[in-house]
Amino acid sequence: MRSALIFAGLVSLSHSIAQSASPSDFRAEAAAIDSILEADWKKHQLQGNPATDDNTFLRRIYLDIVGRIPTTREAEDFLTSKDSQKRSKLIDQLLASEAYVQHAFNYWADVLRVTSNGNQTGAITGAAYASFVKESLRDNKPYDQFVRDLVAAQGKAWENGAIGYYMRDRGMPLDNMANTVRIFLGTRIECAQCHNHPFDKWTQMQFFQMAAFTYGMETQDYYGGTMTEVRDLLREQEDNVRASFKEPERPRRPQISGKMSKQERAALEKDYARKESEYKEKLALVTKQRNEAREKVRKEQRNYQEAMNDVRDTMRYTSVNTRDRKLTLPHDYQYSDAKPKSAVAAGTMLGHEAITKPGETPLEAYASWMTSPENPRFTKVIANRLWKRAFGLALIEPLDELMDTTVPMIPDLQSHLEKLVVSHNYDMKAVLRVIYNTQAYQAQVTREEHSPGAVYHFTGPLLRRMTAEQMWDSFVTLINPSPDMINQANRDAMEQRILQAKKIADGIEMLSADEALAGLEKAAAIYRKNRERTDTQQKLYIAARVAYKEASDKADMMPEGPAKETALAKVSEMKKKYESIRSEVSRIQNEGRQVTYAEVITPGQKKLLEKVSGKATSTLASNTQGDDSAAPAMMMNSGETMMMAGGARAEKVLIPGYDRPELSKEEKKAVSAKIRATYEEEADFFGITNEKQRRNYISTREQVSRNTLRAAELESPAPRGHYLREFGQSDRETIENANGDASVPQALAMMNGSLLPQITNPYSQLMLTVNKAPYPDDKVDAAYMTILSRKPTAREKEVWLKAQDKGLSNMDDLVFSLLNTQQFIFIQ
Amino acid sequence: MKAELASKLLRSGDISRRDFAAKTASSLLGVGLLGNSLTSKSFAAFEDASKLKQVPTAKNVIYLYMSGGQSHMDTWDVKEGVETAGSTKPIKTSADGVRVSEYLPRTAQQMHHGTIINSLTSTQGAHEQGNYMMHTSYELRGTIRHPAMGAWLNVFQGGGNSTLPNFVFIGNDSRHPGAGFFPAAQAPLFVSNPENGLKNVKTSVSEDKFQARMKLADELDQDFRSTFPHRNVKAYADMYDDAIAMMKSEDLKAFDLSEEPSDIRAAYGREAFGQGCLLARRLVERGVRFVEVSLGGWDTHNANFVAVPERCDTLDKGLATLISDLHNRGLLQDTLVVLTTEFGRTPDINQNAGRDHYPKAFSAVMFGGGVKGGHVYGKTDKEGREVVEDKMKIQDFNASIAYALGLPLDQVIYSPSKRPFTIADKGQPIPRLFA
Repeated sequence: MRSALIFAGLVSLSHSIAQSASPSDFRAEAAAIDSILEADWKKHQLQGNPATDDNTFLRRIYLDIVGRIPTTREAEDFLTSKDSQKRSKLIDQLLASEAYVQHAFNYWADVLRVTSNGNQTGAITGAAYASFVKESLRDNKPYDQFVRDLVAAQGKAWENGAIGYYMRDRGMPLDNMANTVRIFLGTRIECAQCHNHPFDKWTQMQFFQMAAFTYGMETQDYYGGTMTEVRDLLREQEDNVRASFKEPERPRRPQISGKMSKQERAALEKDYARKESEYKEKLALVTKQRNEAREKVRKEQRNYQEAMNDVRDTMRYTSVNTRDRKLTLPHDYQYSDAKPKSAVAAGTMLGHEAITKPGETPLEAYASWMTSPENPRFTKVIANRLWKRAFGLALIEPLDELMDTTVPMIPDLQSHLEKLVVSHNYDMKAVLRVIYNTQAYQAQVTREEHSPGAVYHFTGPLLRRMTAEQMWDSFVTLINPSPDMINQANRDAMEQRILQAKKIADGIEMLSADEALAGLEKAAAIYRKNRERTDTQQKLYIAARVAYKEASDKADMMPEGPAKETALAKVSEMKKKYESIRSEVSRIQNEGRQVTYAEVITPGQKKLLEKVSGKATSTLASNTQGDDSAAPAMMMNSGETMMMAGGARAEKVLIPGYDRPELSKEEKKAVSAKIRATYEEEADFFGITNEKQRRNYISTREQVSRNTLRAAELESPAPRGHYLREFGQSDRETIENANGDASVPQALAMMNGSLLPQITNPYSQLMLTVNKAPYPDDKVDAAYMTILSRKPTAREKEVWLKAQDKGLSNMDDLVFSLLNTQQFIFIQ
Repeated sequence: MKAELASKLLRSGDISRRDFAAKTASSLLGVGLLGNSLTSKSFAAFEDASKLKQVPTAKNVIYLYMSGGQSHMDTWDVKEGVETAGSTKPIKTSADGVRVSEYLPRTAQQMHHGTIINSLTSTQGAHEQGNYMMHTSYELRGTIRHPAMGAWLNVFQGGGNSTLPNFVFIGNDSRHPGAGFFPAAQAPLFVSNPENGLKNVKTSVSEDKFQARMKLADELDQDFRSTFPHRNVKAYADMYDDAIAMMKSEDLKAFDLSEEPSDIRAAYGREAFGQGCLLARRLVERGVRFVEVSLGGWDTHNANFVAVPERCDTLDKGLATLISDLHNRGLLQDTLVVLTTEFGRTPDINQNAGRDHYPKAFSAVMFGGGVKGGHVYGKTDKEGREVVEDKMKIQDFNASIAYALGLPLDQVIYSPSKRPFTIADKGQPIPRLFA
């Protein structure tokens, strides 16, 4: 029996599946698909592929739903079960697991270009975006709702991670629309951004009409009310200074009447001209004074700006809002239906119009239009995506280059799948469940190679190479006996990245503009002196460095001996001197920011803490971190306290709801006991009874669960050079950029990389299984079962026996060879 | 998409299996999957071959990228007697009338081999966008990735006669457009630490055992391979052959910097950049045609006059030694050494004694590869604010590099999304840079 602890993720069926179709329904729905296929095969004189055996099915379904090969325990559970419904039960169990979320995330992260590593979205919004996608998958959010959440996303990163969708194309709203239409409507319109589409019907006007829907989406740094007020105060200051220089009064034109004599008129004119020129002189002077004064104020304000940027830097790229902004045609618009640079009103490119209903924003109306079952392409695309996830090929290829002339490979099946998606209210798990239960899916893969462009009749799935993530996660499975176990610390760190930004933002909002300004003033005072202080140190630095270099060159030229040694000692002292000046420069450069933290950010956080806890900070215990005697463990106040420039203190204020509460000793014990119990259970299962071995096992396991995490638990994308990237993980730069090509770095990694020693470690899932087997034959069986989810054939056994004669005596050898076969990385 | 394109390329034309294998031998780590024979047919579906193609002046490029935005005011375009100069002073160089910053004394002795360009101008003032434009000539867009020059070179001309990848990037900079919309095989091989060499090229077991293991894998896989004689299954068998060939390749020695005398290694500078320059030379010697080495740390918003001299120290050793070393080995005439960056820095010194981003006017340098020696192209005003002579756009700069390599600047290539692109986005090469 599985330990409930390990498989905490594999809870009961998700509600949506249970609600949307009763058990017999999904069978009937699967059968309906099969009968459409059979009719198609009959018409084309084809036959469905033979059914798979349980072993092939097992490996495939694990890879397709949870993105990894099964462990031997999982394999044995399934293979030994006599339950006639065991396949559909396994499908349900896997769909309900957290591992499904991880695997599906890898797919959507590629489609949606999710970058949690900070590229383009910034690290905060990137992390929030990744969490949004994962949570949506975990909740099995209906696909149409998921898309509405994305394309109508607004707010701050910590409120709504979906804003990552717009932040991803920060500053490129037109490109964002082209991407939206490609991802969700399967249509390529990026060519029409600059001219009418050369190969399709789309006009440049249509592109701009679509873009007008979201042109007002503004991707910004979060600023907040307080900081905006501060900015206004500073502006007011500037205006006041300007206003303090009174504008001279302009002379009035003389009243000339017909009764006046010529002389009188001339005198008046002359007088006026004199006054006018005096006025102009005065005005020029005032303008000059004003400008000078303003420059002076601005120069002074630059110091404030520096401090304000310190605050702003903590919230880079975290806000998306709509703004009233008109999209205009480009200056070189060349068609007769509108003038260049004229404004464009939003309009849909296909289907009905997006009509804004009462109580709805235009953005929401646009999102509803996009995701409506009536939208002729929205459902088409997702139906194909889900089908392709199972069969390795869509009914329309490529699924994101739809045209009016596009004909699906099996038109009846296409329209049937669309209806199925709609009838399940875009419940992706429910649809996948039906597809995975078809006989067609459970048939053997097609032997013949499918050539791009040819029609395929889906007599079974296609042979596919594992994705980069499937490969990596399968390696994780060979190493880790509980591969889906969550590393909570890692998840917490990701969550903290978002919450710390929220904490700063909310804290600043607790301050009045005057309070914030007072704090900023202190930092500005530091920045005011920065230039001068740095210049002084720079001069000292340059002089010290030149002196050091000269002395060093001289010393190098000296003959060996005591004189040289003395000289060298002096050189090393001179080096120390210039290095100490260097660190003084760094210290000066960091001081302003530290003061901003101490005088603006920390006070805000203290106020926030007061509000959250309902107590004055002064009455809250001030604990330094690491002090075990600190009473209530869940609290609250300051962490480390640092002395800073000018005696300013920067404290770490811990706030409930923002900072994860420090666990009590008992709670910590309980958590580690729980994890330990899992390892103990594994040790029991694998028959590790010896006390010392058990200890070793557990310490190895701790390391493994820290370091060997599934792809979806790492940054997206993994850093360059990571195995995932060598295996072809998308760099997230363009839509669906993962690549399944064979590559030399990949082959090198498989043969010589650092993974193999981890896989052949005695405490890896694979080697534990192998070592548990009593006899050599059983060991070979165990290796095959763990790596390929099947037993070796007679021929394979023979090959291995012969190889043993030739000096390959070790199980490591067999493991190495099996991992370097192609059948390991292909899904049958 | 890419896989499809690549497989289309493999099927097109009349290249034989053997021909293909020969090409992939160097393709996997980034060399031309599409050699000469394939190019025009596959990509330039709608255009005739180039008429602008000219006789190349250079065979290889070593591209030194100063990441973060190098201050032109304190390196190649030093001013005197104006406030914007800061505390930086110019010094004389080995070329009459050419002056560089006092922070580059060694490079000053090599200026008779190179041309300083003091009139570059860009429209991109943010790092990512600036870096992207410098590498690709195009604006950063959300719907497409444009290829870097090394990838264009792969596609048009293929590799040298080396089993090594043709396009190598040395450094830690996380930004690089790589292969752009070309197949992944055109991407550079990324080497993050030049002293660590190539990853995973050594086995942990004896040669005999390794052979036996591979033979066993081959035999155990026979049933699978005969059941599925698919192109992408086969590609793996080929990949393994290539990987093993690579492991045995003599050319791998390029990565063993310990072969170099210690005084040479020291002269290049012990920093990763210096050793990267040394590795670049060793790669070019073995037929690798495009090597980029990046040096970060130029984003000197703060304490510019401490940070720039420090960076220059590292740069100066690596660059000056590279030029003289290439020259001494007779490689400089065939090797264009380019030094560039995403933008310059403000002539005005800010309140943190630093300089901010300044795309309006900045500098680059070229050495060898047919470029004039001891020459300065373009000019900024007295304070370094505006280009006043021979303004050069990024596209023109890149067109000049492509021109030196003899790449067809007017040949239109269609991306898999069927959009037309050219090597330097219609930039015009500057013949006056060349001797």
